[in-house]
Amino acid sequence: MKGAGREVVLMLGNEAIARGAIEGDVKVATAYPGTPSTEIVETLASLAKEFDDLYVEWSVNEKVAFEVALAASYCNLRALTAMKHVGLNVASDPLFTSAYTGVRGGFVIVSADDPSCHSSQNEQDNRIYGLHAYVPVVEPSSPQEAKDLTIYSLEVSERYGAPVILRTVTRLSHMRGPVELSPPNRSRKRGSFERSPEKFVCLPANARRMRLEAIERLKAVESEFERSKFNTAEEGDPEVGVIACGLAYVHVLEALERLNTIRRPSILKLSTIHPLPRDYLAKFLESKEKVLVVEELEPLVELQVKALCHDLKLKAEVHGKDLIPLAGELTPLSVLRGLASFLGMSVEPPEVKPRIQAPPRPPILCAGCPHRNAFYAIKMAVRKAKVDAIYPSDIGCYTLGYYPPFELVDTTICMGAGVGLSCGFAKFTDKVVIATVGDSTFYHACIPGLINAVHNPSAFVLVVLDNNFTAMTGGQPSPATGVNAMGQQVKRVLPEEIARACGVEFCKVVDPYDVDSTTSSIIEAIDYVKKRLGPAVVVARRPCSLILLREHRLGRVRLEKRKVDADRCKGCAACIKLVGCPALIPRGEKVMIDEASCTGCGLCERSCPYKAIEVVKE
Amino acid sequence: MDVVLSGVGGQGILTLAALMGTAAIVDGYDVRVSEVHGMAQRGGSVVCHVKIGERVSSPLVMEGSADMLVSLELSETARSLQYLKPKGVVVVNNSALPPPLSIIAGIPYPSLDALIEDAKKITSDVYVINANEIAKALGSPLSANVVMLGAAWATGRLLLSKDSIFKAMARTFGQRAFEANKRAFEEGVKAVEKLLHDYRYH
Repeated sequence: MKGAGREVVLMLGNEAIARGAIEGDVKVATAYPGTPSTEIVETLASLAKEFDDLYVEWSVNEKVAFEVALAASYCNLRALTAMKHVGLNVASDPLFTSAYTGVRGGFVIVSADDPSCHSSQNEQDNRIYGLHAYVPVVEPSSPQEAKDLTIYSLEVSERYGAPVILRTVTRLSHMRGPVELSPPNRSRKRGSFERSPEKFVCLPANARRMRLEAIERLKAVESEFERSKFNTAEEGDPEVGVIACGLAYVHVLEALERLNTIRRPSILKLSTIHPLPRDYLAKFLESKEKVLVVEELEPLVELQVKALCHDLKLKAEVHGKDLIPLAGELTPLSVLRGLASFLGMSVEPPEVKPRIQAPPRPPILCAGCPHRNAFYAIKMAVRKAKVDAIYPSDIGCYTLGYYPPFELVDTTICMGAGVGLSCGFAKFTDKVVIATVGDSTFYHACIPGLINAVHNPSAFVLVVLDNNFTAMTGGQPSPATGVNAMGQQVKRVLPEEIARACGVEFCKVVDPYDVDSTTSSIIEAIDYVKKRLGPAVVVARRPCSLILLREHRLGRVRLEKRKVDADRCKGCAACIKLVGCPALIPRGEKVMIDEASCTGCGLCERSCPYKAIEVVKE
Repeated sequence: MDVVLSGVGGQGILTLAALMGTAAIVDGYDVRVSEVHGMAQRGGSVVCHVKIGERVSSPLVMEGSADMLVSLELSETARSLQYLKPKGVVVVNNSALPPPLSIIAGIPYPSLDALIEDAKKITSDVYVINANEIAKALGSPLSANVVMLGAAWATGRLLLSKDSIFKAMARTFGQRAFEANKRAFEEGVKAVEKLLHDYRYH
């Protein structure tokens, strides 16, 4: 990422957005980690040492991240906040009202949507937030454009005083492509806040006026978008047109290459999604008999184009989601099929149907993951306590406890819902409720639910799986870590201290690698909640196994790695069936342990009926 | 040129894809690499698409159009075979990592012969090497992915020069890892050259 020349570098879409922030003079960048957005602020955090005017933080949740960045903008500094699509739900409260106050320094909200739910609980289309909240939305089609549009969004935001949403999708965020670097354009600006309560205090009297101002700002941005160089029209068949939004544009290009049409349709590449440049579109639509709108997920542009044709009495017949899939991400093939049918052509895409099906390989907990030990202990505790339990869970690596051999995840809705749902389940059923949440999720959205459980007494067991990091997204620091995004040593915030401060009376801290004491603590917690007094919290603390392995490589911790004694191993695979650890690999009639990934958690040793697994002696 | 890389999270597929992408830029091509991050990486199946050419549009390879499929895990070949075009080339690492969940569920793991038979219906160019053993013998078990890169290059169907691949490796790795990976690449080349030789003379 270094260098000031016009160097061309292979960059991830997310890195390109980060580069745009650097070139565009962003002084403050904030985020809560979430796939597919994480690498944006991760990249900026790694650059904070190089640019001493750059402040970067992993905030506790997206709402806080949004507000910290918004404050920077109110102080005339350029700011960027990045989050996954569902993160913007958490930050939607300040989003709506920030459109009312308007902003001062350029303010960009990156929403990384996840069509096809590669790593998410839903596939919502966040462009709709733009319409709903009166916030402009832009959408790039390549890493280069991701960088350029980041800078453009900062400029538009600052010029018109509106926050701007830059919408990316998984396939753009996690796509590498060539990006031409420009020199970072860093100003010497320092933050300054001029008090103007009538601008920033959304009392009803002010808010009514502000709504009118937000509407006016959007009109001004619309005329800006009318002349934006990021929208382009390629002349083709004057009667047949395709409007391609964001990343859909490149799929359209690919599909047209395949179709090899004699009369290539006219193509309008649309990067400014909201407000739509209506005059620009009208000019394109004027001569058209029919038009296909290609966009990822919702028919947002399609519906508006239909309305525009109606308003202007244009003859174009508008197609969209009747030919392009509504669910799942777009692929060259799905766009090819839609486009062919739109153009009245037949395609026979080469279809290869392999006879052999690969065995299913969903993601699983890593070798030595302390969550595995905690799930193992929960299973043992429930069996020993002879109770019937339900298992609300949450968003994180531990959601993988859904799969065999544990199957201890009954609900996963959104960040923090594990606790909120438990408040309800504990009241409305007679079963024992055992919820699992990670440390990062606990700070993010579980604390109000826990206070609620004390205030409106709800008796459930909450197991906080504290692995010291936000692990699923690649091990970013959480408040449990003791280090922040800028690399500063900071005070650790401990879940057990929070739980006690919330009024929780049963609170224990255990090491999940010590399966016996973890099991007995959970049994005690089950006995406590049976008295129906209030919630019981068990904090299962052990660093993420990926961190453990790294520390081991650096010689900072000793791990008691295990191996299989091939003479004693009968090949029954009980270890694999009971533990499901990926370090256990079948080899011929036996099982072997992959030494590189084993962290010595010891679960397999417990599970082996033939005592064939033992500690590797050094 | 469209390449699909498949395997299991942790096998170094993202590094392999980025090496191809960087080498393509060194060679002056346009390129798109589509990666998989986040949840899927946790021991799940990983598929990366690499598209190299004068001008590349979509980052995704269309089904039935990959010029090359490189699979770092045996059974994962089957998951990505749908992308291969007729007469494309397949390079397979003969290393089996049966997913724990399929063992629990009793789902059988496909045999090498059956997988090859399936691939041969689409193309006769199927190369099977054991990159893990080659890398292990070199004393750098983590460089099996670069052994596979050497093997892919040796088929003569990868649109990249060796020189630019080495430049990409120099940018990606530190000096020591660079030397080790260079050796891994050369061993991958040798493994495929041996297959070609055996095929020609026996």
